[in-house]
Amino acid sequence: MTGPVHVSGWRGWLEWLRPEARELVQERRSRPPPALWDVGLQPERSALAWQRTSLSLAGVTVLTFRGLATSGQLLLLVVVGGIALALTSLVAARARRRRRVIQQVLERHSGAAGLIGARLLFVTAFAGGLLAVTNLALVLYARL
Amino acid sequence: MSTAPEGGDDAAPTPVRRYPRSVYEGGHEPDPRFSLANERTFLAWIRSGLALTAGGVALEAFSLDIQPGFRLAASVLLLLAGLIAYLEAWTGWKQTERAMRHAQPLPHSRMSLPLAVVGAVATLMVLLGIVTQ
Repeated sequence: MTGPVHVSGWRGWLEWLRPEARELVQERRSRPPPALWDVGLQPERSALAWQRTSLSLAGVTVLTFRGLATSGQLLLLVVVGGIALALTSLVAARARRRRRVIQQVLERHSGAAGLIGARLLFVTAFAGGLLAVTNLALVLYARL
Repeated sequence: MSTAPEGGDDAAPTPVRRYPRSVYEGGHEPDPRFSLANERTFLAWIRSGLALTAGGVALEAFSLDIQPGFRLAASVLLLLAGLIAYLEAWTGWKQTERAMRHAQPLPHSRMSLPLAVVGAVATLMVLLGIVTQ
């Protein structure tokens, strides 16, 4: 067989690329990794924790919507469901922004400056409390 | 920056008027890594609360084969435990952040014991509900 040296198995996938694309991949690979502010990856771990929490919050919001829908209380569904959905979206969006802001603060001031405030933390705890109280009311309403 | 900060106090602009004031008005900026860890503890408490809330809802939402009275009690207890967890998340975060700013020993989580008791009683209710069914 003629042509370029054949690498067997899936590792040979680079061979299938056009030369320009192959060069691009090789150039990307040879770049040094981006500088880390903390070798313990603290900002990254916090960002992932926010992601997990946003997902859990969305899950419980969906569960609450189900309860509201089956309760037959349309006004409650619209008002409380709307607020819960708005808070969940807000937390998810602001968590992403928070990561960017924290990264910027850390890069600019090498960690000597204070991070940003905790309003988002309060909103998150409040959203959880709202969901808990709503479901408490739903459970009691359905049974009593 | 390729290395971790030394926590030096070079003149870095500190953001003013951060919420909540009761936490940020005094003390010195702690190492950001500690603040980030405190934040993750807060988030872990929130997820615990969400799990408890979901558990309380699930008990009543799906017609499980548990004696209805005990099932309702367990459900309400789990939902209350969720509330306790959210409260602990916020107050615990505040106390820890404040303690770090003033270089004081970190507080313990006050709600751990009440939460454990409520969780145990809820489990007992489910158990009784299954046995008496």
